Amino acid sequence: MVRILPKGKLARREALWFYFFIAPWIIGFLWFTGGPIVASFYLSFTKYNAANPPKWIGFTNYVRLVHDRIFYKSLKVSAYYTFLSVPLGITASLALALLLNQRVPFLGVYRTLYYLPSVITGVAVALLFQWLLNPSFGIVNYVISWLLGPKGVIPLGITGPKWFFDTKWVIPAYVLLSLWGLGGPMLIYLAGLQGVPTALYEAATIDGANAWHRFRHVTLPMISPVILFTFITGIIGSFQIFTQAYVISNGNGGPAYASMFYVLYLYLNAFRRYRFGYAAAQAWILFLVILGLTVLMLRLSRQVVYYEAPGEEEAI
Amino acid sequence: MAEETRRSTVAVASVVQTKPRLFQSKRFQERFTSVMATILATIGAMFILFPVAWMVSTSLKSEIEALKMPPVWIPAKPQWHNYRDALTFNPFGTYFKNTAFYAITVMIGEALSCSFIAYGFARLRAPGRNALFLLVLSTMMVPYQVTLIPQYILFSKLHWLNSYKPLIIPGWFGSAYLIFLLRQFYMTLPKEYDEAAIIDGATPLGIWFRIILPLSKPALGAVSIMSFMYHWNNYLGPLVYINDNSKFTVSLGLSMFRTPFGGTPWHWLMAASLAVVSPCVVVFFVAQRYFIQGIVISGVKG
Amino acid sequence: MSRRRVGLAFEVLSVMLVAIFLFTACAGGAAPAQPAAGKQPAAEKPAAEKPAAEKPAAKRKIVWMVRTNVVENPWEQNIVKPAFEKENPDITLDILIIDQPDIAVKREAMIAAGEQLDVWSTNWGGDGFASDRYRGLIMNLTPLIERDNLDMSVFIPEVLKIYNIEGKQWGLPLLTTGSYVFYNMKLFDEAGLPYPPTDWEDKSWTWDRMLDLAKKLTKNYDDPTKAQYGWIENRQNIEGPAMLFGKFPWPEGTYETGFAKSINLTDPVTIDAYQKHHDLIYVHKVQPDAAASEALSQLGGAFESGRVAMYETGGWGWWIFSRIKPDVEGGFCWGVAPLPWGTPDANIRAVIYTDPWVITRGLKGQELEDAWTFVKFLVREDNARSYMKATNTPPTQKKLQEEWFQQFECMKPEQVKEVYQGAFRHGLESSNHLLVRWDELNQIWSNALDAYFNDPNGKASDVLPQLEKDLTEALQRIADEEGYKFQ
Repeated sequence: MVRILPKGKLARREALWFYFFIAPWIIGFLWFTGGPIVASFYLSFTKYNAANPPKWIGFTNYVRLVHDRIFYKSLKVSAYYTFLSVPLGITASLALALLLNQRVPFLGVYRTLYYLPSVITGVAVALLFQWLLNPSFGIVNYVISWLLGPKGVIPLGITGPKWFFDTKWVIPAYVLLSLWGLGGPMLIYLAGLQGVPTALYEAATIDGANAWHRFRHVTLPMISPVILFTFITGIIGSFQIFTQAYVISNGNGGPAYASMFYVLYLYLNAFRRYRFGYAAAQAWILFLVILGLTVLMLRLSRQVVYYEAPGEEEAI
Repeated sequence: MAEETRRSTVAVASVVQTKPRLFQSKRFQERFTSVMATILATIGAMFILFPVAWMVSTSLKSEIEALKMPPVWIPAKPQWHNYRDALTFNPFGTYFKNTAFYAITVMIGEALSCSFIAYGFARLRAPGRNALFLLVLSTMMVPYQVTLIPQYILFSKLHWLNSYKPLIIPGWFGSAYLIFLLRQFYMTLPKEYDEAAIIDGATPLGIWFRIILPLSKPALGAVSIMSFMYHWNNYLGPLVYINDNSKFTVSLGLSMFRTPFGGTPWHWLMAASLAVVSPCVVVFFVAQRYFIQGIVISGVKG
Repeated sequence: MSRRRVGLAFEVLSVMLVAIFLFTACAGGAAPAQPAAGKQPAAEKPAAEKPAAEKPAAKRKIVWMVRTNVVENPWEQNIVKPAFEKENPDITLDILIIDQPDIAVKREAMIAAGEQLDVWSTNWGGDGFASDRYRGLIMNLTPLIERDNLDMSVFIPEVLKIYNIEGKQWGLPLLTTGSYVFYNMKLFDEAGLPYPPTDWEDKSWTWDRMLDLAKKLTKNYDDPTKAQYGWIENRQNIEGPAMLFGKFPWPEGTYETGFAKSINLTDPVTIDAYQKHHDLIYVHKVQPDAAASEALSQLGGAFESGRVAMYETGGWGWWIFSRIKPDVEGGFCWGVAPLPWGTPDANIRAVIYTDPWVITRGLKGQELEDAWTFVKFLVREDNARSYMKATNTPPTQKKLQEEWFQQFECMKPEQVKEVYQGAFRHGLESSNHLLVRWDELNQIWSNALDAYFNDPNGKASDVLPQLEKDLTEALQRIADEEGYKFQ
């Protein structure tokens, strides 16, 4: 069985303190979060439509999922979206944070401006982007054809794609939408940059390191724990993207299922078709996928992420 | 491995030696960086501002004007009364008060508890720590769509429905996202502090309160802001747990404009959306000066 | 390495198991689950306070769930609530107002938890009437109607019939409307063209006649920022385009049972009908493509913009367009016409949309009586009238219709009556209210048809056979999963 407490006296005391500090979380987990999670696991083995009590059906939901073409499609769509949006989002927001950590006049105003979009949420943003990216009336395509169109400044004959109406462009369109919320991770990086000891930069500069070297060998290692955070939470979040797709695709995940995100399909099964058991089975498969990715990331990150705290040799 | 990285951090700086050239004088470099940064930031800001400008423009149109395609950029006659009309169509004053109460209450508790819990995960060793931490992370991995009904049943059994309790109290026991974030910050703080304090006889509680909390001001600031903004905009929670119109939050107030079959009054919705966002903007502007200074002024002296 | 991973997995599992054990043990012990009651830190005092619901119940309450709507909500809050509470001083009316796309989330949670929910409408959010009836969520009202001798003859018979299945009345209709062609009189006048008729029997109002008008009314087609379109249709259901050409794709009896063994989309007439709709965009160029259509109808108002001569859609136009006034800047006069005849035998060609009030099944005793009192209150003439007046929606009661016909600025009451009522003689209720798990079917055909209508080279004869196969497969799977046996 698991040893809750280690042998040595000092180590035991430290372990007790550890449990003291995380006690609020354990209480909250037992009280609020854990129960519903366990319940959803149970429901995944039942047929449940909310109007009648759940009926145990064993692995039927999982078996049906294996034969569900849309299920595979939705997993692919979400994986593709994650693959595009997470690295892009991290790079862009880190660049933004570095930019807004320079000596820029009215720095506060700029920071506020860039943060602003991440506060405008929900349906309004989805509609905004439907309008911006509309192939006929949207400003984005207008600018593209003004610049590169047949009669444009640089006449390359390029006109904008059909974005949300094109199976190939619909996911990039959602990625653009996600980039609008850069302000959130930017804030995290800005806070992280505050923790980089100035002395390190000074020492590096005196030694003649240029900007790139300072970034590569001082900034990056020092904020690597925060980058790991944005990576993992980014993956967790983008696999669960829902609201935008629900609004923009009208709950259909079109065209031709190209925007049938995993959780959109899950939601439809739960709240439009009242197959709560089936949806729960979907959720637990997703759980395993994300958990696997997270553990993988944590393992890989040991080589590159720099920690100060005690026990980092074994920390995940 | 990590220790190695740290050493190389300093080492590389001394290895890289380039001959100083004229344009590499420190002052020139600083000014050049500053000008370039300003230009880049301005260009980016225009992209960001564009949709906002559209919101402002729509908020000043008449109802029919707002539906025009292609859109009219400058309203024929700015309808300033839209703001008054939108905010009095439903009792937005009450919604603002409710939301402020809920968001501030949960923010304070959440920031404190997350810092507390994160300290445990970041700085103290115990068997099962990694497993427990993974459990914390895994609570984020189950989509809310499937835990929503069991959770609702739970709060129904607790008789907490139609109150702010289901929205506030769970937050006081920490949020996985913020715990993770603070843990990452705490793991970068120099451990010499803890070691010195332990020699002086301090308990972990004392270390957390006297050393970690003051040192992690930027991180705590960021976490508080994120918590506040999240709860200010939270839609699903209030949607599910609040029934009475008099207890509605601003996000529910905004949803009240939505009307089926294209009947949504966009001019009101945009006016109200801007009004709802404005406190967030002010809060951020004021707060960011306090906790994120320029790189040159601050920083923990290593 | 691998040993460590196994060890980690083992730790995770053990912690979870312990957590589960602790949780279930505590939850099982105390009836109102407060597992951590003993460990509450000081910060969380409010939890200790006694639930308010335990107070001696002086007043009874009714919980009424409605959708957000800038015209309906003021009626519910400022007219219905005071009037009902005045008549029934011992009952409080609680109104839950929720945005339609999110209604299901709250409703299903409330039902699962057994929270009080009395009166609502099946077609607002979620899947629709058929699913709610089939899973036993709503109450058969016939015994109550018979007991109280409620006069059902006030309702339009065709409308009442929709929610009467196997002799049981499952809901009382609150609003109803057919499908129509709304047209912009100003654009017709400018082109010097005569208005379409108001008589559904008028055989001269054919598809070809409509197309001819649409061509004459289309201008600058290639420049969406300047274009004026002759025709836009708001495709809602798979049967609509086929019905216009006299074909009904669902097998007989589908709308009563809510299940179908198959769907017929490969009839040559149906294929031709879908091709003709496609040609409106890419051959005749009188209708904008999907992207422009969506921009015009969802983000802006296609019709309100004054850039569409004829707009085919469900009858919500009657009340949504009432904000277009001829005497206001940018406004114009609009009229309403029947759907054109695709073929001379397309007698039943309009899709009807009707929303009913329903009562949650399982209510008992006083709570049921109160809910029923409230439903009767809602459909009573005076309240149905105040709803009609507040919202401009067409009423479901014969007497009120006559009043509703009076209110249109640019059409004479007898014209309104003729065109409005014709749709019911020439229409059928929409499948989205009457098929079990309609949403799943809708997902299948929307994905296929959106792609088809987006593709300039799309051929109905290529798309529909595959769609028929996919839908038939889904229909049989749905019946199987829901445990329905075909006769």
